[in-house]
Amino acid sequence: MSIELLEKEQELLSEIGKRLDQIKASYAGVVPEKVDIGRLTQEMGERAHELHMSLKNRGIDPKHHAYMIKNRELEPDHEEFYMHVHPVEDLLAFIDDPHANDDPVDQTVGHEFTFTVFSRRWGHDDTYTLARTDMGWDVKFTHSGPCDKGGRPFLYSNFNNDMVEYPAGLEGHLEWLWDRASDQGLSHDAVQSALVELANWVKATTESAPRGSVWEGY
Amino acid sequence: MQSAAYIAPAMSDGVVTFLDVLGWRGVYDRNPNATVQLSVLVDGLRKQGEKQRGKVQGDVIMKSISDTIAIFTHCDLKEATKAIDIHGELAAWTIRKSIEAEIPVRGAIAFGGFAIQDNIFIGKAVDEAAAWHEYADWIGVHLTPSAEFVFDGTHGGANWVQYTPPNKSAMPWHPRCVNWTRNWSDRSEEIDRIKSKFRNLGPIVPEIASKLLNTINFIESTAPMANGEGNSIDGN
Repeated sequence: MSIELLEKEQELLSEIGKRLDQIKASYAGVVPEKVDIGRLTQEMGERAHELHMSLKNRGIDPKHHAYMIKNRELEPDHEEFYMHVHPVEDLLAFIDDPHANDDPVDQTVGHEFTFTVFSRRWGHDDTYTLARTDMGWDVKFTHSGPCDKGGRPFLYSNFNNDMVEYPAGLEGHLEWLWDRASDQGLSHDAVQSALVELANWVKATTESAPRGSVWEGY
Repeated sequence: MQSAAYIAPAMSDGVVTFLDVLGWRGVYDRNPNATVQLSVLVDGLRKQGEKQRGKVQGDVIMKSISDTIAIFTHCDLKEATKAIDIHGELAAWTIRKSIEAEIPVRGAIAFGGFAIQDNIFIGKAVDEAAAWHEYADWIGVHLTPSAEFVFDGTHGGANWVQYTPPNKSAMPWHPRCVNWTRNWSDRSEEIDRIKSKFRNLGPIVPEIASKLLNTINFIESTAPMANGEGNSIDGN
């Protein structure tokens, strides 16, 4: 839900938006004539600072990404902070959605998850434990130990030992999931649910492997 | 035919990086996960690019076509060193991750005019980056002459090491090369890890051996100096 602006703030927003569009179009080379980027940036920055302070004085402190504050080497209240396209874009995003600049927090390092697959060797389901670590996963089963984000080496040494067939893309998907959990701060349930999808994919691969007749004993 | 309102993008200055996966042809035999791994790499690189926002006015724009990743940042001469530094940081991240994923990259960073329209990019900086990015016989990234000429060494340093990129026809120059090993704490352990990754790229036939050995030579020659400044080393 966007922030309701006062009349003066709406005017500022409109003036900022016009200048931001001109600057961005100029950088992208899609304006017919050269514009005075320096002047536009100055005008945009002054108005953005005024809007920021107006919001702050009403108890609404515009939030910025931690990397933005680090990269600008200024605090958001500083009058120079908005003399730049990117923090202004983020101010507009904040007004549109006060959570737009929230930095995701990795919530699941140290959490344990289950991963149930079908073992052709033993003819039943086996449930592995995958604990998410700083570097990847800690696999707990017959072959236990720290693995990379893709589950190497122990997830696969268990699979090979217990005749669990798995899809070639599993490693990439596991790594993708690990990165998403970190970058987007996925909840425990979201990670577990994604792991169930992957485990079901492994099960389907194992169950669809050819068996009987010529394959007997493979 | 385009409508009258259509405005073609004009050339403006900036930094262009081209990165290319080594040995992509036939990669499906060696690494069935290569496409997923490249997607993960490009996705991660986009996120790294996001985290650079606020340093220079232009956006960090990523394009990927097959095994080539192109990075663009519009900037004027005043911001050139900062923008080149950003590309250096992104290239360093990509090299480390690409080796980890066993799809190692090499590339080049140029400065000059360019224009982008969707997935079409043109300009001198594009031509220069494209011409140089597969020139060196290694895993690594270096500046091309245009970027080297505008880079202000008094403001950039730690991301770079001056080195002659190995190739069959060595040129008499020592461009800045991305010092992608500079954050290593235990260098000998990291080198062992890299060698183990290289073994997985095998068989190490003569055509690829030189690239890997040149990379090891670069790594072993680039131990960080105590003051954190870039080194100057002759690779030939």
